[in-house]
Amino acid sequence: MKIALAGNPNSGKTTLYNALTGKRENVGNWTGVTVDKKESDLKAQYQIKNNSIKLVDLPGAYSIAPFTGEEAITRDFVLSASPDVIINIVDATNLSRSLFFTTQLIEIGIPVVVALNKMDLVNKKGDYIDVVGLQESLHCKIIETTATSEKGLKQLIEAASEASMHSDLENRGKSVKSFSNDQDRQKYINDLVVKFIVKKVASSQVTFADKVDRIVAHKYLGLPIFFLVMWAVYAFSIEGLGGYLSGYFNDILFGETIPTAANQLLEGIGVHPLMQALIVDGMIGGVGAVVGFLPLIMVLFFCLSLLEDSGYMARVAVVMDRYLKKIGLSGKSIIPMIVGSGCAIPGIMATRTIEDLNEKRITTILTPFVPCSAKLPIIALFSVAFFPESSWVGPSMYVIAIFMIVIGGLLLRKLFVWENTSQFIMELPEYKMPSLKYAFTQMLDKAKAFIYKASTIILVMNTLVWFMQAYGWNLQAVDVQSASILAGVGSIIAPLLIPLGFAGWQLAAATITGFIAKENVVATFAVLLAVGSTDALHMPGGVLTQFFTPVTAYAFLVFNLFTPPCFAAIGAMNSELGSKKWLGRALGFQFGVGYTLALLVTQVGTLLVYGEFAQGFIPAMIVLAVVVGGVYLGIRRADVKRLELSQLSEIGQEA
Amino acid sequence: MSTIIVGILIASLLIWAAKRTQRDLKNSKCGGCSGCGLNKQCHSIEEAPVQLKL
Repeated sequence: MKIALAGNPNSGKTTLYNALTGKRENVGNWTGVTVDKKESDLKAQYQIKNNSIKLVDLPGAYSIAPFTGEEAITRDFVLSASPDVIINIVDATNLSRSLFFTTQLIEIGIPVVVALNKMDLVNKKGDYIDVVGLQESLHCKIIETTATSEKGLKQLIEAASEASMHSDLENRGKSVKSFSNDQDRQKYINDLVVKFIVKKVASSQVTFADKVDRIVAHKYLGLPIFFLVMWAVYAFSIEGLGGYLSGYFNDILFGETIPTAANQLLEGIGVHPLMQALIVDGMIGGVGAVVGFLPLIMVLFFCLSLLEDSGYMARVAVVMDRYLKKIGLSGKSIIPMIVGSGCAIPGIMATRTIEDLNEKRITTILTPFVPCSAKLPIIALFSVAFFPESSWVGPSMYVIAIFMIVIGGLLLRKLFVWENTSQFIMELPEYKMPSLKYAFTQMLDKAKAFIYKASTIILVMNTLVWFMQAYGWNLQAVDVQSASILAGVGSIIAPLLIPLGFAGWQLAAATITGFIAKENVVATFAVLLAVGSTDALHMPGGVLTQFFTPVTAYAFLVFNLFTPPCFAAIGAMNSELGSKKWLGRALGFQFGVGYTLALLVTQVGTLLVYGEFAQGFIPAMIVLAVVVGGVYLGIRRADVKRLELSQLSEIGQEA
Repeated sequence: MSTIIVGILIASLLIWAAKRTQRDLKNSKCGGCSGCGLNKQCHSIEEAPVQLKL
């Protein structure tokens, strides 16, 4: 038997799906978290004898008539895959909006069972829903559920199984009320709500949540509050508990204990020194440098999950709407960007919730600017090595990211020809006490993913990097790194980095490996620099200071954060942008932004901080002139095209 | 002798990691990103278009 879970966005479908299947799909206290359908077997405790049940979680939809890409997935599945029964998850705290979709699903003729979800919030508010009356009016079974505590789920599956057995399409069709238009449907639903719901607090009355919203979603206070909250989260994660634990991992565990033990063991059993170097410097050193930041990432995501689950992040979208509107985007674009702070790939995928194609494309291009978890080890490493006393470096990357999203959005609007934009309407979820269990699960999920990545792609890349720095083109071990394969490859790219003030093939090599996965930047430094120096990588004034000043270190951070993301994220961009032409434009734009920004930080920063010209000043000025000229020509070309289009449109109207 | 045994162990580990990496890249999986976790398929795998019957 196949059961489809369908309902409005943020009605708790994925939470219900996870509870019923034991899966850990991404959930969030805002709309549009699920953008693809997911399928799985029910957990053993919910399976019904002699009936193997499969569950399909569909993206949220407000109506059977699709408005966005993910709504189309829901409609297509419901209409063409013909599930045996549909469980319609209805947000019990917002029945008037939810029942619109319910009545449409019932009309299709496939048996529908309504899961009246979030009943804990209804009870907490002191509201009452006449479930029996509503059930009789809608002609379908209604089960009260609370997905977060798995209440009512057994009854829900039993009701779904029973409904599938009594499917009688022709008779159902006769008993179901049909509507000639959406206005009639909404009027009918409003009547149902008045008849069957008794609210303890009238909707016109100002609630505690309204009072909180007046502060956190305030047009002037909202943004400073958001920055303050993010600063507190990052200060706690990078400087506080997370930083302390990561310090222990980097300095003691992967800095001394494990390498010393491995060296002793390998020397004790008489392993060849080259093999020993591969294991200790290449594998343990490289992977350890990345895994050392695991505690920091776990603490950070624990805090972010608490914020998200409380409902605060959805308010941030409303606050940001005001600013994003000015660049032709809407608050809806902020959701992919917030999701992208975990990983750019689901962030890019979340652009599917954006109806307007132009807005979707701009958001896809700008989302990778938000520092993802893979970039955090780079931020943390450079913060510790060059700015040990400052807590502003990490949050400053987010401030620059927001600034660059606004500037980038304006530039993209000018550089390319776009069409109209849409309005932003977002439903604010209820505030709730964030669940520690949810935050803990999210944290563990991120940690598992991080360790998996370190044990696969990072391990392979590090071994390759170690091999390439230890061997020459003749496949013989080299005495000096500068004669190695990696030095040869890095030297080809290195001249491109001179205008940015980055000198040395090692930096070019780290940049190249960073495009495979951003964590590789840290791991490559660990492998390359540990071989050439005994100074610790993670210590203030460590080996990295041979290559950077604090200003160029900051520029290197900016370069890695704003140039195109890793290969996998580029693949996701390709899917969402829908054409190679737009992918090329997007990558060119991202590379241009990252390169120019790093160039400006190095050249202007060195002049301001040290009162002298930075390395590569003249090439930098030439590159800058080319970039400015290119942008000017690009804007002019787009202006001409826009003018031609408006003239054509006028001619068309006159005709 | 010990170098050969350790070498075989390390080679096995690397082959396993390389195979996983190759499979992940082939399936457009991001190597365990925070969105996909350890799921078999990545978010970025596109849905096969479903034909509308109505």
